[in-house]
Amino acid sequence: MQETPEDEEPDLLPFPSFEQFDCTEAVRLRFVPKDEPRPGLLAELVAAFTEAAEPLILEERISVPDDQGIQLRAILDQKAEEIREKATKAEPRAEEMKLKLATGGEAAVAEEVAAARKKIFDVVAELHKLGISVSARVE
Amino acid sequence: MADDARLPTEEEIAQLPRWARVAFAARCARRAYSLLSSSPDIDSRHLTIFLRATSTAERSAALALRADATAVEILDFTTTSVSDAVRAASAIIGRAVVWASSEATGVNEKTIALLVEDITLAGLTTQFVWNDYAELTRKYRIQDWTDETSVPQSVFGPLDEELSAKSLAFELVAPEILAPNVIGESLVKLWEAANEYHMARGGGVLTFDEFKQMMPALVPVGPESRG
Repeated sequence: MQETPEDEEPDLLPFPSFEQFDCTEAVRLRFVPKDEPRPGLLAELVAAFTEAAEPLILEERISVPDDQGIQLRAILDQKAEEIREKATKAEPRAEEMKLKLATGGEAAVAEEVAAARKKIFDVVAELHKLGISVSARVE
Repeated sequence: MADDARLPTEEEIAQLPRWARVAFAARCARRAYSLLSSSPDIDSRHLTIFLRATSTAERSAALALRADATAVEILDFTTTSVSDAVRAASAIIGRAVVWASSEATGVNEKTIALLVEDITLAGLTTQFVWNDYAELTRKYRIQDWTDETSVPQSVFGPLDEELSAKSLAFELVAPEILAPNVIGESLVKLWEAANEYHMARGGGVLTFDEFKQMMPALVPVGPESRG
């Protein structure tokens, strides 16, 4: 059947059904800043991720009992340790950025902010290609 | 700015472009969420539905795309089983989704004004509502928005409770077919990206706090399951 202009469905924003979330593996993780120079910086970070991922829908979820998902939990424990090590190594870089901000102001770090923002978009896009959706929020 | 602590009038709301109105309603819904979550007569399922509808309206405004009308059916379910205060707050986002799903670019300002008044009576701070409206107005005038201009929630800035937030939480939802180590690697990449941005803005290193493996806690909701 030939489609007429009236039949053409305009772009619609799909409202996901609950069933779309049924066959999934979900992980919730939380990071805390060692220090934060201004109120709202975490919210700004959430906005950057949200912009990269488009507003995503947070579903009500409950924790899986410990006897389930043992393999994933073991891997995440291992990755958490990896992150702690990387965080320690990143300390000098954080200090360097703080100094740059203190001496040169926001303009001095504009390129670093832009590069970090691009990285957020790249990572979110990469995860989406794998079928992983990411949502962020502050708590 | 205390002198400005009033609600925007119908006429003022009418001046906003189409997606700015939807974004404004969604912003009010985000603010109303704290009222909903502290209400004794709302359960977690209603809260989830409310968040879903709010997200739909936000996404519609951010992408300048009409929403699927399914959202409206789900909101009907929400608004028939809760108290007046909760219903008023739910209604504002319900209307936003209806507008988002509508072809119409006019009307609706009267209903927005009434609903903003309703949720303000239910406890929402007038100053916050006005600040959101004023910020939206300032930006649409400077940037010459039209009815086609998309309006993400980021135009408003952080919500008040977000300003005092202490942690950053992510939720990753992945197909079960993915190997666990892929999810693990994704977690590290996510941290790296978040940490770089946080440090570039002068923040300290983000440290890993906790993770939880999650599963859906909802029963299917739809027309067939309504009592």
